[in-house]
Amino acid sequence: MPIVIPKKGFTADTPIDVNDMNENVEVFVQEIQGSLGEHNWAANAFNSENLEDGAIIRAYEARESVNWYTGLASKLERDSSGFVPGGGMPADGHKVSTRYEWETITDMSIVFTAGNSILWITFSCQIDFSSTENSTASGTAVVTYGTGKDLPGLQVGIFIDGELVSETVTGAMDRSNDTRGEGHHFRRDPTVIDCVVPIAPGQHVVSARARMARHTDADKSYDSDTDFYAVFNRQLYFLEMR
Amino acid sequence: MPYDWTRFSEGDAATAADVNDTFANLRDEVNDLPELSIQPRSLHHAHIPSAVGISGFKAITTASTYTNRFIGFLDTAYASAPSGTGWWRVGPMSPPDQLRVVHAPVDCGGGSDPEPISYVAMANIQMKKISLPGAGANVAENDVRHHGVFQFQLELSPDGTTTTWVNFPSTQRYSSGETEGGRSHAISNISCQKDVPLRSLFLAAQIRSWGHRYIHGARVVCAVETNYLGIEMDLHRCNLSVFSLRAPKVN
Repeated sequence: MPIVIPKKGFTADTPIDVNDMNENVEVFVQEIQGSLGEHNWAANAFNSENLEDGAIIRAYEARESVNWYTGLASKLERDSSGFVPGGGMPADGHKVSTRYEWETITDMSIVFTAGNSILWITFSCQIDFSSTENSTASGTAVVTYGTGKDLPGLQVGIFIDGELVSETVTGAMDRSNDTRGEGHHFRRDPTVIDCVVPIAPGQHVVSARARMARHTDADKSYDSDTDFYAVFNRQLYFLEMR
Repeated sequence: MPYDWTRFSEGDAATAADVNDTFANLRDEVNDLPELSIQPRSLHHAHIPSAVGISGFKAITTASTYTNRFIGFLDTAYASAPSGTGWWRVGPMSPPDQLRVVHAPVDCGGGSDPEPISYVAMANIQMKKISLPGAGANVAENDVRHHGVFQFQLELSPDGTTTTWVNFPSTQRYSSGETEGGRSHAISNISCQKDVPLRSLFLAAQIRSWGHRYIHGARVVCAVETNYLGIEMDLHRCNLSVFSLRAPKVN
C-alpha cells in the first residue's frame, strides 16, 4: 500500500535518535525503490496539458486541390472530334504515365521520424482519365465519346520506404480472366485505400503511388498525350500511434 | 537505477550535513524518477486523459432523390431544395434529416499557437443510380456522362458562436453512373450501386489559417453533374464518422 506515513514522531526538546530518523526516511526510500504505482497518482492526475504534443499520437498529412470542372464536364472529357473542351490536364492534377510502372503521385510523399509505433495510413483520391476511345450503346445510335473502353485500368497503392504494401493495391492484380483484371476502370472513380502497419524506429517515407495496369495484350501501348489516367483531388494522411 | 540509500549508522551522530544530504538525495531521486522506480502497468485509464476529444457517428438508411445541379468546383452556393442549383445536404427531405454530426465545439486554439488538434472525417455514400425518368432504354439512364459529386463541409466559427458551413473542394469526389466492365458499352441500364468513400484529416493550424477557431460539426453535401435537365440521382445508405485527436502536425 503506497500511502506513506512517517513511522516516528519527533518531540520538541528531545534528541533525535538516528534509528527513528532511519525509519522515517526508509518508508519514502522503499516507495521510490520501485514501489511507486497506480495508487500514487490521483485519478485524472494527468490532464491534456501534462501530455507533450504528440506523446501518444501524431498526425501527418499532404493534400492537393484540383479544379477538375469546366462548367460542363470534367476537363478531360472529349467531344465527338476527340477534342478536349476543357483544355486537358488542370493545374496540380497528376497525369499517370503509360509506362505501367509505379510512380509517386505528385506531392503525395511524407518523410518523418518515429519511434516504435503503428501507422494508420489513408490515401483518398479522385481518379479521372482521358481517352480517344468511344463507346456505342447496343442497338442504338447513341455514342459516348472518350469512354476509354479499352483502357486497361489504374492501380493505386501505399508505399512505405519504397516498399509496396501490396494489400492496399486497388484491383485484383490478376488479368488472367478479365480485360481489366489488374486495375479498376471506372469513368470517374473516387477511391480510398488504407492500412495499419507497424514500423521500426528511424526515418521513414510514406507515399501514395499509381500505375496504369497492363492490358491483356501485353504489347498494347497508349499515347500519353491522349490516353491516360489522372489523379486529381487527393490527400495522404496518417496517424502515428504509440 | 533505483535510489541506493545508506542508513545513518547506529551510534553515529546525525549531523545537519548528513540529514541535508539524505533529503537532497531523496529530492534528486524524486525529481528524476527512473523507470525502475515505478511499478509496471502503474498508469491506468483513470489517470491519463483520452487522446480523443470528440467523436460522433450518423447513419442514414432512407433512400433519397436529388436533382440539384453541380455548378462549379469552387462554388459555394447552397441549393434551397434538392431540386435547386448548388450543393444540397445528403439526407431525406421527409422526414427531414441529413448526414451530419453535431458535437461540442473543438477548440483549435487562439493567438498564433494552434492547439495540437487533428480532426478526422470519414463518410461512405451509396450512390444507387443516376437516371432520367421516362427515358427509353440505353438513352440516358445511368449514362456515364452524369456524375454524383460529394464533398465535406465543416461547421466552423471564429468565436464559438457565429458558425458558418465551409466547403472543402479538396475533399470533392465525383463518380459516374457507370458500372465497371466497360467492354464496348459504357452506357448500361443497370443501377450503378457505387459506394463513394470520402476521407479527410484536418489540422488545427489549417482551421486557423482559414480564419476560424472552433469546429462545431461536419456533414456531406452532394450535387448532380450533368448536361441533362431532370437527371435524378438516388442515394441510399450513408454514414459519417468524425473524431478529434490530440495530435500535432509534425511534417
